[in-house]
Amino acid sequence: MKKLIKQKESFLNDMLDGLKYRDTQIEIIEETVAVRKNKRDKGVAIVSGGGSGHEPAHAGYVAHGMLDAAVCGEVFTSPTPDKVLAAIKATDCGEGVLLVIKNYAGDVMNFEMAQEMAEAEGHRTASVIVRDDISIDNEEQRRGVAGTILVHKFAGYLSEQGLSLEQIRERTEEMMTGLYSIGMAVQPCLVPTTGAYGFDLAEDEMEIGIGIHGEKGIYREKIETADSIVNRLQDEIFKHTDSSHLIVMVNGMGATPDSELNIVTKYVMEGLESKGKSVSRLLVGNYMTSLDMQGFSLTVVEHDDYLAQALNAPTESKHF
Amino acid sequence: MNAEQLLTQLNGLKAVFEEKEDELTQLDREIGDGDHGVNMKRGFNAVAEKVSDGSAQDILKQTGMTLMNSIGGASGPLYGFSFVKMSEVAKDEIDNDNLMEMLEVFSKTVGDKGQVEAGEKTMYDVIVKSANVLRETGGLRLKDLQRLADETEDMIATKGRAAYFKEDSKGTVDPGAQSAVYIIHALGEGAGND
Repeated sequence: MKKLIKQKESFLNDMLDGLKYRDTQIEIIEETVAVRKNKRDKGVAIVSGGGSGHEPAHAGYVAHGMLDAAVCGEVFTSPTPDKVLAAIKATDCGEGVLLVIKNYAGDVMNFEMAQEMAEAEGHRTASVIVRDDISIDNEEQRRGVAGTILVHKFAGYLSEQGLSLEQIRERTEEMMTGLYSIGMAVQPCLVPTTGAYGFDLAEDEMEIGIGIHGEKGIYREKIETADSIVNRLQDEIFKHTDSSHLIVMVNGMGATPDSELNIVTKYVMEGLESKGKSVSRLLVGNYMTSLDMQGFSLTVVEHDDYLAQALNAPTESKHF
Repeated sequence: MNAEQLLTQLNGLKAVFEEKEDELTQLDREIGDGDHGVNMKRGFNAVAEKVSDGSAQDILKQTGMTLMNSIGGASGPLYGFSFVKMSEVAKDEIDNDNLMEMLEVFSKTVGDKGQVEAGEKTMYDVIVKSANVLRETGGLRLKDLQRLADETEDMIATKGRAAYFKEDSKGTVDPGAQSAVYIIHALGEGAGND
């Protein structure tokens, strides 16, 4: 295995040590919890996190206007309840903490266990579970993928507006009913902790409906050209929404060249135009990655003026 | 099995999961994300490092907290919480009747916390039937436990990450079921084990 690591056991800590030099606005507490240096002194704190390997998610969104803390687990492994609890305790300033959880059994269990512990210690908490991956038919099983970043932004904005914990939870839940993502890969990722590729893919194959943990997609198909792939993903998404006002994210999976993301973006935007959709904000880049996977995901969110304003509001995160 | 023997058994799982890391990785890579081996190894390394002498109850509780705070994923809270719950029923000298009680608590905890039933291709399939194995054979032999894990091979997953693959999850033993074999085997020391 060729990887720029020292040893697989120290992957997480080495990465966070490096991040401290790069992002001087955050500090790392309890070894694996990224918190803002300029801590909020009022309002509801927004806490998220998950396994590592999704950089810049989640620590890259710990900034004014988005997250107050990100709990970083081992590669593709949910963080443990003690660390989530540490994040809650470090960020709660008395008005409660909202946990943004991606829908994976491990994440949900660890975060909810921490939530119970925090409640027992007198913290008010609420949680929302992101399920934006429409490649899974069963809505309860849908995974939380790139759309989670838009949830971070929206919840962070609501908190800045001074809304209460319950109001933020409700409005975020409502926003998530119009949030849809689907991803694809042309190359799997090499998982440094196991030294193995997440799956094997032949030279002429692609995976449609991938998650963000290097796991196989839902469909394995012959590779097609970028325009056909974009069409295919858009068709899937527009089975779920007929809204004509969209915010769109073209998310790189980690090792997709910018040039290819631009090519994908061209066909995404042309496709949306031909369908008569108006796009009020376009985000293109690596937001929620899967190590060095090559591929992209497409996220759209239906929006009203308020949501557009929220997602367009400034944040100190340099990754949004 | 007294406290000292229990500690030896649990510490011994460090070497077991070191040896079985690749096997679990391989299974998990087929129907999950390939990290079950490394996660279990990290968990029982931490147990060997952190869990010290005490009563059987202390040892089980410390093991549970250590697993919960070191494994992560879904296995961390499920195994971790189960050890904490087992500590509440364990006696100073764990005989077969007490072990049966512990396995029933293990099974109930995973069932409740994981909201899982038998036949969903998870660790639960091994755990829930292990008390039967003990009842019928008077022990927890590796081959009997392994047969329970092997039964998950033909199941279609409806829980956990393997569930995304639906029909395609058939043909692989569930990695959680496989790790449960090693854990329960270790708990069975002194109960007519091999």
